[in-house]
Formats: sequence, C-alpha cells, structure tokens
Amino acid sequence: MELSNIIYNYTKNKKGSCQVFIAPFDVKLSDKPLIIVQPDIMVICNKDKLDGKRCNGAPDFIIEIVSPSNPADDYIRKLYYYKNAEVREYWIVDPRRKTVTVNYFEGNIVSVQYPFDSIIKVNIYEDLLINFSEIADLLNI
Amino acid sequence: MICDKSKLDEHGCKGAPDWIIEIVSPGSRAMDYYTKLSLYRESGVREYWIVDPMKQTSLVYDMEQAAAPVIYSFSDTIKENIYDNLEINFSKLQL
Repeated sequence: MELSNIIYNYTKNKKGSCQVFIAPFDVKLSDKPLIIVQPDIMVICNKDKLDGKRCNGAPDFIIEIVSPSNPADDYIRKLYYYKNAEVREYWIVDPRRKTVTVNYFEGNIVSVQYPFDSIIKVNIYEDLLINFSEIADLLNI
Repeated sequence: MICDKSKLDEHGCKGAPDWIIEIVSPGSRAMDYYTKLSLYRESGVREYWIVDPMKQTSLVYDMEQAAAPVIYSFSDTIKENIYDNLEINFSKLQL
C-alpha cells in the first residue's frame, strides 16, 4: 500500500533501527489481560520487541485504516489500548470521512483532524511529511 | 442526562446515562479522552462530549452513528444528537 511504502522508504533511507510492518502481523500489547491486535501499518524501533513471530509490546507508531463495518473499534477501543500500551503516535485514516485523526500521546496532541488534502507531519520523526492529496485516491476502499 | 427513570435509585444511576459531558481538567485529561471514552462506549452511552477549556475545543462522540469524533471550537454552536432541536452555543458560555 502506498502509505506504508512512503514510511518504509523513509525508514530505509534513514538507516535507523525502525522497521515498518503491515497487517497481518500480531502485536501483543499486554499479557494480563491478553491483548493481541493486528494494526494495519506500524513502525517498530526496538528490535528486542520482535521475536520472529510477533511484536511483544507497543509499536512506536500505528496507522489504522478505518473499517466501514466498525469505526468505533479504531476510534475508541484501539485508541484506549494504544494510549495505555504507550504507543507513541496513532493515526486513524478514515476513507469514508476523508480525514486523518492524529494522536501524539507524548506531545499531548489528542484527536487533531486533517482533511485528505493535507500534508501531515509524523510527530515521532523530525522530517517525515505525508502528502495525503497524492495518495488519497488510493485509500478509497 | 438520563432518560430511563428505572435506572435511578437512592444511590445514583445503575446503567449508562444517555448523554455525558466531561469538563477536562489537567488531572483528568487521560481519563476523559481515553479511559472514560472506552468505558462509556462499552456501557452503552449514546453521546459523549469532552469539553476542554485549555484547548478551547469540544469533542463530540455520537456513539450511535459515526463513532468518529467531531471537533468544535468554543466559538461554535453544537447540535446535540439525541434531541432534534437542542443546540448549545459555546460562545455564550463562560467555561
């Protein structure tokens, strides 16, 4: 998918420790209670969390593409999970509403919404900007 | 706001209110935006407003419809979703 490609290319050029994964890839957010999710797109920077099968602990950055059947899952339930698990940044991309809702927990940015023609900065990086007007057509599902 | 009187007893309300408004304070921020949001959704609250005097914004969650929050500024008039004709003009309130 175009969005994950942009982030993949950025992390590759940066040559840092961060890796991009896309669904289906299991993330175990907690043991008790057992919470396992499969985010649509995620960036994981701590290799110790990867055991070859899944990610144990919170990814640094997660993007969910809202599913039409259950928007509350991404907007409410996962928002709560990701905040509690200490995911650093969480974007909710909604093709039906044509909005991106940005949550950057450590920066106290809560539910800031952008329309699909925006250029949006990834807060965990210094210089990664994503121009949604270039990829919005590809996000329609 | 609670519409079903049978939920009320002398101690309080047993079950989900129909509409809840939380006014965010610095100490309640995470509770209001994440924990209560999830809790209210699960327990069947129909509408939840998060009014944040520090940010000068209100987040409106219509749980029965979109689930996606709609963000308003304190200069907006917000339509309540449960009633047909209840609007609240935030510019006239002192928060």
